[in-house]
Amino acid sequence: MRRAFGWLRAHLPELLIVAVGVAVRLSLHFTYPPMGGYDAGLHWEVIAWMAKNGGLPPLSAAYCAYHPPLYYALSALLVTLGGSELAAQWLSIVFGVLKLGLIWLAVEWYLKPRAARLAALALAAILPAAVHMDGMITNEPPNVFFAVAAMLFAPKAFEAEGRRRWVLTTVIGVLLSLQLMSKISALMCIAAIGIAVLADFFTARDTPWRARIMRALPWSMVLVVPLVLTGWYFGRNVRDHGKPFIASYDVRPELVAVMTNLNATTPYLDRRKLGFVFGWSSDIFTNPYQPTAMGEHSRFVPQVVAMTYVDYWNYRYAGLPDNTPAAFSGNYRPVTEELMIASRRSAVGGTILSLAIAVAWVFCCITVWRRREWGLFAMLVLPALTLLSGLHFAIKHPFDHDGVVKSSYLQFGMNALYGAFGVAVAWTLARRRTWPLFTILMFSLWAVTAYTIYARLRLTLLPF
Amino acid sequence: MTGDAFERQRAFMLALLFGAFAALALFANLPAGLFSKDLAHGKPWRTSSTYVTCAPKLHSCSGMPLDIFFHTNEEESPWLEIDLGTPRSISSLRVRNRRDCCPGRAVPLIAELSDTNDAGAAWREVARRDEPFDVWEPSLQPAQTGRYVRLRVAKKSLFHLEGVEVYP
Repeated sequence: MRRAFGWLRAHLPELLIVAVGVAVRLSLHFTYPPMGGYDAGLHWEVIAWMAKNGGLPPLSAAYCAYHPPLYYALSALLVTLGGSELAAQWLSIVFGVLKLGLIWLAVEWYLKPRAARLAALALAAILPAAVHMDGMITNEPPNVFFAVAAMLFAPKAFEAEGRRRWVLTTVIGVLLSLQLMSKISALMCIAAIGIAVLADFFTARDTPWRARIMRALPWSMVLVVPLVLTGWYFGRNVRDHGKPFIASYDVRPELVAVMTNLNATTPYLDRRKLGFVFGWSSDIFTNPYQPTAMGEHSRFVPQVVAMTYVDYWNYRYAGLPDNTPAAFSGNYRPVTEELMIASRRSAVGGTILSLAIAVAWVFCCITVWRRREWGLFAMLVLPALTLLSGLHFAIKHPFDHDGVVKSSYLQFGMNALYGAFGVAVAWTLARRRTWPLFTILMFSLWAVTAYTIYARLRLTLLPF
Repeated sequence: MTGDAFERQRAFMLALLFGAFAALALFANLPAGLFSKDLAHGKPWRTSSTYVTCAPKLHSCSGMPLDIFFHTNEEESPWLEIDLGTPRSISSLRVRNRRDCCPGRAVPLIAELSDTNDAGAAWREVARRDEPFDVWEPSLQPAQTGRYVRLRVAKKSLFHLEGVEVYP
C-alpha cells in the first residue's frame, strides 16, 4: 500500500496528464453525438445488421461491410445486450482510454528523460485527431489500440533471445491479428516490423548467417499467427470477391466506375501536381477548416497538419449543434469566433510541433540505427510508412472532397511520434542555449491543449 | 557553469514558464470587464434580428474584413440591447459607427434604458442623435439608472455598429 502510494506520488504529473486525457475522452460521451463522426451512419449499418442477423454481413448489406468485423461484432454484441449507438461510442472511448494507458507504458519503457516522457504523454493525451476519433463509431479506436499494443512489444522482442523471443513475437502476432480483424492498416505494422527484421539481418555482418537466421526466425510468427487467426476471413474475401483486402473504392458501384475511368485515362503520376506532395499553404493559419488547401492548389502536408491539430472537416469536435449561429463555417457547419481563434492557434502550434517532431524523428532514426535498436527502429519506420500510404491513397484517388486525406485514419501509425516530440522537448531543455526553442515548443503544445480543452470542456486556457 | 547552478536555472525557467501558463489561464477566466470601466464590456447582448453573425475579435463579418460586431436585417426600428446584469448608474455612452460605409443607416439613433426587457418594458429615452457620426458620446446629466441599454434606429433600416461602451 505504502509502495503504491509512493509510486503515485512520484508520478503525479503523469497522473494529472492522463486524467486530463481521460476527461476529454469521457466528455465525448456527453457532448459528442455518437452519429456525428466520419461515416458514423455507415459504420452503424454494419453493427445493426450484425446485431439483427448475426454472422458477417455481405458487402451488399452495408457500405462499411468491407471492413474486417472485430469492432462491429463487439458493438453488435453490446447492442444485442440492450445497448444503442451510445454503447458503440463507449466501446471507442474505452479503447481510446486504454490506448492512452499503453502510450504511458511505452514512454515509461522507452524514453529516459522525465521531460521527454511528460511531453510525449501530454501530446498523446490532448492531440485533437486522436481524441476526436476516440468518440466516433468507427473501427479506428481498436485499430489504433492494437497497433500501439503490438508495436509496444517490438523492442522487447528484438532484445529477447531464444524462447522469450518466440513468446514475444507470438504475442505481437496475436495483437496484429486482432488489429487486422479491426482494419487492414495492420499490414503497415507488419511491414514496419519486416523492415526492421531485414535491417537487423543484413547489418549484422559480424554474425554468422546461421545465427542471423535463428534470430530472424521467431519473427515469422508475425506472419504465421495472423495467417492462422485471420486467414479464414481474408480467404473468404478471396473466395467471394477475388482479393483478400477490400477498400472503400472497391465496393461502391459509382466509385468503381469513377476509378475505372480514371485508371483508363489518367496515369498515377498525372493525378496530382508536384505541389500536392511538396507544397505548403499558410492559409491554414487563418482558416484551418475545409476547403482550405484543397481544390486547384491542393496541398497534402498542410491538410494533414490541419486535420491533426484542428477538426479540419468540422465533424463536431467542439460539440456545436449544426444550427449554432456562427461567424464562420467549415464544411458547411458552424465555427464560432472563439472556436476559430482557438483553432487558428492550434494550427500554428501544431505546425511548430510537426516541424520539431520531423527533425527529432530524423535524429531518432539515425540514433537507433547506429545503436542497432531495431525494435525502436520498427516503431519509427511505421509513421513514415503510414504517411506515405496516406499520400499514395490521396494520389491514387484524387478526390479531395471525398475525404481521401484524413489524419484520423493515420493515427494508428503515428504513435511513435509522441516519443519523437518528447525527445525534441528533452533535447531543447537539456542545453541553456536551446531554452528559447523549448519555450516555443511548450507554448505550441499549450495552444493545441487550449484548443482541445476549449472544444471538449469549454474551459479557456488562453484569453480570446 | 556547475551542474547545480544549471539545475537551479532550469528549475527557475520551468517555474517561470508554467507560471506564465497558469497566469494566462487565470487571465482568460477572469470575469469580463474586471479591468475595464466600460460597464458593457463582455456583457450579453442581442439584436432585433441577425442578417449575418460577426466576429469582431477577428475583424470579420460574413467572411469580409469588417469591424462591426452585429448586423441586423433591414427592418422597422432595428435595435441592439445590452444587459448590464443589474441596474447601474450610467453617466455617458460611447457609440462607434461603422466606418467603411453607410453611416446614415444608424440615424436617427435613440439611446434608451430600462430595468426590464420583456414585451411590456418601459424604455426611457436618454439620448438621441440625428446627424450621421463616426463616434457619438452622449453625456447623461444627471446620471441615469438602468439594467438594459437599448440603441434603436427610428426608421426602417439595416443597423450595424463597431462598438458600444457604457460608463458609470
